[in-house]
Amino acid sequence: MSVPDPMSPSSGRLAPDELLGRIGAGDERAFETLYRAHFEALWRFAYGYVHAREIALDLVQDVFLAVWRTRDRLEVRTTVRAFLYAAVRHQALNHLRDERTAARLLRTHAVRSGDGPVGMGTAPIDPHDAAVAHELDASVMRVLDELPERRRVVLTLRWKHQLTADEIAGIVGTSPAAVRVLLSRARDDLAKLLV
Amino acid sequence: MDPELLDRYLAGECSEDEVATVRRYLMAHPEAARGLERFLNDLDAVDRTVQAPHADVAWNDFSARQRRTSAGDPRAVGSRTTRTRALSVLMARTRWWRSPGVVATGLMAAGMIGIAVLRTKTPPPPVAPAAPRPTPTFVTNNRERATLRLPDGTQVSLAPASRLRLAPDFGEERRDVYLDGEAYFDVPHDSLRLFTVFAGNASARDLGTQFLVRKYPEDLTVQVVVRKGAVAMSGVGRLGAGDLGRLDADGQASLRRNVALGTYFSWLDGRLVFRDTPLIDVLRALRRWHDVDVQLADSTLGSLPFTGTLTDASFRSSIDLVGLTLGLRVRRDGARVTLEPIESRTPTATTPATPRP
Repeated sequence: MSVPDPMSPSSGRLAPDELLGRIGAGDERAFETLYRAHFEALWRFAYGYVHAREIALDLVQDVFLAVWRTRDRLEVRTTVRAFLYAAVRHQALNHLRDERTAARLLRTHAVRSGDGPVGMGTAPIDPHDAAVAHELDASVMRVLDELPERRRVVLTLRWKHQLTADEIAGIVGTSPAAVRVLLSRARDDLAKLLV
Repeated sequence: MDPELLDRYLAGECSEDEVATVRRYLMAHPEAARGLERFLNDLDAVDRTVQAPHADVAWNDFSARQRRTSAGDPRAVGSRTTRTRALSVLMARTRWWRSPGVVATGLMAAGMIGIAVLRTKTPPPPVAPAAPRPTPTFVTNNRERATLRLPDGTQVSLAPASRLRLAPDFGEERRDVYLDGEAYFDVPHDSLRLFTVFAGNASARDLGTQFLVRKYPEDLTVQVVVRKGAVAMSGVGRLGAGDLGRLDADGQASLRRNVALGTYFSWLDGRLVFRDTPLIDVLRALRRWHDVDVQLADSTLGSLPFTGTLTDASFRSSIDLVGLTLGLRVRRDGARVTLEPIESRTPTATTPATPRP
């Protein structure tokens, strides 16, 4: 039985491992496939942190540049997408930390997270939102306000990006068991919404 | 409703039957559905209306950065300086001050756009929002020009054979438009809702301004010329009045100052100004403006430089002027128009008739 040549043109979809193998071998088209498969979701994920289109784009581009530059020594422990999400999160958190000075200039804004830029960035409260909130289920706001930042990330990744508990654990740097605990608490939050 | 089921539904782990169960529940309980939607939107403050950049635009941008990295260009990684990054953060936050009244949805935007059509010859509606598209798109064919008024007050003149698409969320947090071809923009500046034109692999961001952007399929570069105010062009930087920025497909940028603006903007008044323009490009312009394909008897003629001003009023006078200037004959066979060297009319002329002894 012959070993498939990683460089040979392949028809149909590539298994992630095969894709990575080809990228490692310098196949630019395999890389473009990876890029196009994940760009939009990663951009939305980054946008959740920075809430600025160009910066979100920069963050994602930097991640892919790093992937391409280090393609020959990439080590992916979970899945490719978990690897990419983890890298984007890392970049986003670094970016927010660097921008803390700028954030201080904006102190007139109430920010929801008390302690610097953690989790899904800082969702500002604005008058418009506040006005709209009157019409909305007060329980929604109550549930959200009680959510720690880290749980926001976990829930976002599971409910808006459909990642598995194992992948999420790898991304936020915790154990799958800890993620499951977070998720089970989140189900209780859902239950409150559904009363 | 079992929250465990809802959790798996959101995570995409449900069977078809389970999906149907959850959907039935949500339809029967609009309050719960609304609450859930809001909960999900607020998790990361990203809702459905947030549109990612187009994948092609992003990939082109990535490729350009990648090439710059290999070339050792420091702009490759993190294209913005720290200062402007800080500025972007500032803008991202300040949008929350915006009064609710200004918000226009994509659909409203489509409805509010007023269209005025400038004909060059044929009357039928040159500009029509392409019906099946989810976003407002304006298309001109050859011989057609259009002036548009966008919902934010921006005036656009769309050159022939061009296409302008508005992002679905145009006018909400930003004003993104996508251009193929050429267009002139007169933009009321609004730093909370930046106006950005994406064309080819480049973007031009308005900093309060009148400018034009050009990238026809055959153009090797994306070209941005500023008449008034300033524009930030990707890869090039800040352009002021009289500046011409260019970005080629390889990400090579160039900037020229104090260009003759008339050359670039005269088409708005129906005049086409050429300055040492290769004949092939002149003919492409004539095709767009008059919908007439002109053939060359010899393809090497295409590189002849033409300088002159043509009007959009008459194809015949335009092509005659080109022929006269370049010493070429205009041959018409029915609808077919060919430019040829004057000698080639008499094929035997290459061996001049010598007087017989």
